[in-house]
Amino acid sequence: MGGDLERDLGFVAVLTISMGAMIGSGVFVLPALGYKIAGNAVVVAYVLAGLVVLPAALSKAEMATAMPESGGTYIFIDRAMGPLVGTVAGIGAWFSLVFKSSFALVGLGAYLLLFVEIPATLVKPIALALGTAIVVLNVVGTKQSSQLQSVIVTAVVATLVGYVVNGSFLVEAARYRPFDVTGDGGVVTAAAFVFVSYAGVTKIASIAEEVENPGKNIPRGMLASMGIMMIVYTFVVAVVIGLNDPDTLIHGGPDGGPSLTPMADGAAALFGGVGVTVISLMAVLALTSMANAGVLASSRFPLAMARDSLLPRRLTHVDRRFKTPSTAIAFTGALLLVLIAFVPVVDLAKLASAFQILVFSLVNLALVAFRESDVPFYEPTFRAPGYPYVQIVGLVGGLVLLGQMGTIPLLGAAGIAMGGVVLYLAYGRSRTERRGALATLFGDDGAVQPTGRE
Amino acid sequence: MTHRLVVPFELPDPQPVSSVLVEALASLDIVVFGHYGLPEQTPPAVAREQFEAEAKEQLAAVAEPFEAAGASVTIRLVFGRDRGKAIDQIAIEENCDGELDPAPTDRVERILVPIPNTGNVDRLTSFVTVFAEGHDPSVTLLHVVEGEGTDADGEAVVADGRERMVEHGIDPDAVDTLLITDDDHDAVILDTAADYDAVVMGEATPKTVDRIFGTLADKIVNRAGKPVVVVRRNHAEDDDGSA
Repeated sequence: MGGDLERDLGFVAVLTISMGAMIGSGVFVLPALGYKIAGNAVVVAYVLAGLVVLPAALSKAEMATAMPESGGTYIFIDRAMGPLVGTVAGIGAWFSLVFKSSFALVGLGAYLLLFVEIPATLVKPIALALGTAIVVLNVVGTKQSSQLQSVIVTAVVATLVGYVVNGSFLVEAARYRPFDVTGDGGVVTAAAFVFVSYAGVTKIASIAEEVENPGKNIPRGMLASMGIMMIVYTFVVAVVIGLNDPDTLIHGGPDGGPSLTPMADGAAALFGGVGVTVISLMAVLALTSMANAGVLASSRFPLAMARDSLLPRRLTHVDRRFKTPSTAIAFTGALLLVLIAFVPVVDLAKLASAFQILVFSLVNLALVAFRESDVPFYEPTFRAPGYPYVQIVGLVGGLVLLGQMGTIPLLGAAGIAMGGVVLYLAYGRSRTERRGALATLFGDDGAVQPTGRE
Repeated sequence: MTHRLVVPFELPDPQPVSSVLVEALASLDIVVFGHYGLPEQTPPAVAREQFEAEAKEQLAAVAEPFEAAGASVTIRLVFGRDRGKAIDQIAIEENCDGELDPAPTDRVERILVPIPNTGNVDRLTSFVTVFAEGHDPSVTLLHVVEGEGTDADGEAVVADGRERMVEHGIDPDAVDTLLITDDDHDAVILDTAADYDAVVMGEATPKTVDRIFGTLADKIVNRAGKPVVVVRRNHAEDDDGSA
């Protein structure tokens, strides 16, 4: 009895899925927060963040063609560097995605408030209610609808293009002068902060086994989607700045904080006067889809780790009635709701980015580990160009960004890494015998397996 | 010539095929195909680990009557999302030329065979002939005359179909023919199917409307409640135009 999956995703499908996973909070919610940090130069921050993500995307594309398994990032890092680093990466990737989903839900709540006249203090309760609904939906199980997904992506991209074209006639040129860092941080800090806007590029790795001709379609789809998103972010953020009074962006949000609905703020004059409604509608669509995909994808990390004996076996349990891994989803959902309830909005975004930078740095290292060691199962059909310089640039770039983020994100990243180590020592170590590909460099060539479960 | 038929089952707890239908199908090679449908939340490998043993047991149980009836049986099991795609994939891998769309039935004595004026008539007639072996049902070849078509054209289509079946070895007395002139091809077949026990028909070229509202075969199963055997188009053969 052969495989269960059909390879039927072509280049366009890969591109749409990848863009669908990226479009969301990065464009609808983050611009004002970034503006507060870097002023006008936040436009450059988006490009810079994209450039730092690029090496990790290339590394991931190569590893995805060699190990097309669900659980993506975690699997690559675990097989490259062993279960200790694997635990850190798995927990980091899981947290990052849950933080990102929490942030998307808070943004979603903020956009919903633009439809109905209710006090801004209700943003969090609304986000909690929406979060609960999404978790329940995922426990009950949903049918994959790539058609619906591509309709949403197309509609959102069309709206963004319309926003840019329409908005460019209305922007006030004076708001771009001086084109300089005027915020309370800097371009690098802002880049670190909006890093999470590109995290969705990971998505393709987790569906690699369904992609036809993966050696071509995976890297091309990843790179093309990143290129398009860098352009989209640049233009949209530039128009956001040009359309809005700086004060609205910086103090227009809940409790006098940065606006959480920057795209709608200056949109009243757009699309013949219905700009706020159109933009808010698209934001709600994109953010719901992002939060839903986030819960689905993040529950794969504890699931994959439990299959590898790094977390309790119970997390792999598939519910009989719903046929979903309900324990892993509920566990993820609980974290999601706790984060929304207790973590300040800005910290949600910062920590999501910080964990993502940590994980992407490990992804670059993982590729180095595979290339340098010579494990028999590692046979990628795509080889990332520019090795090892590209990976070194990605790694150093990531660490520089992380270093500029301030205390909370830095402590968060360190805490996750420590927590992963402690978890491995307390639980995984006595239950696993796997070694990473890296171990072969030190003369230990036993126990390296593509799946670790045979 | 042998023909292979995919008999799909939805897991867990598959609905067994009616025993008369099992008897009627036993002259064909049977591929018992279990599809364990999963939501997008569930990686197939994880579900397989947990449910494979049970699923295999249930499949063996629904396959047993086919073996008892003397059919050659192959069993396949897939954990996945898209049932239609999985059936297609298995049909290609297992070299099947037919697919059963089952419905409960208590007899298989009168078979309706809608016959088009295009497509692989030879494969359809050969399939029906092998299917009829052993239980000798009566077979009605139906052609719907549409649009510009004349009765003479229609006569030629059914006569050709009948002749081919006799060549393949069916009892000539068991085959009669029926011509109906109507512009709604699908509605005629759906109505007529109600008077028969089962339908054997060629696979239509896929249309977008069918994806939304279901194919004619699905409608016959759901509305008329009759089992349908769809004889697959062979893509490779269609491409180079020879059979």
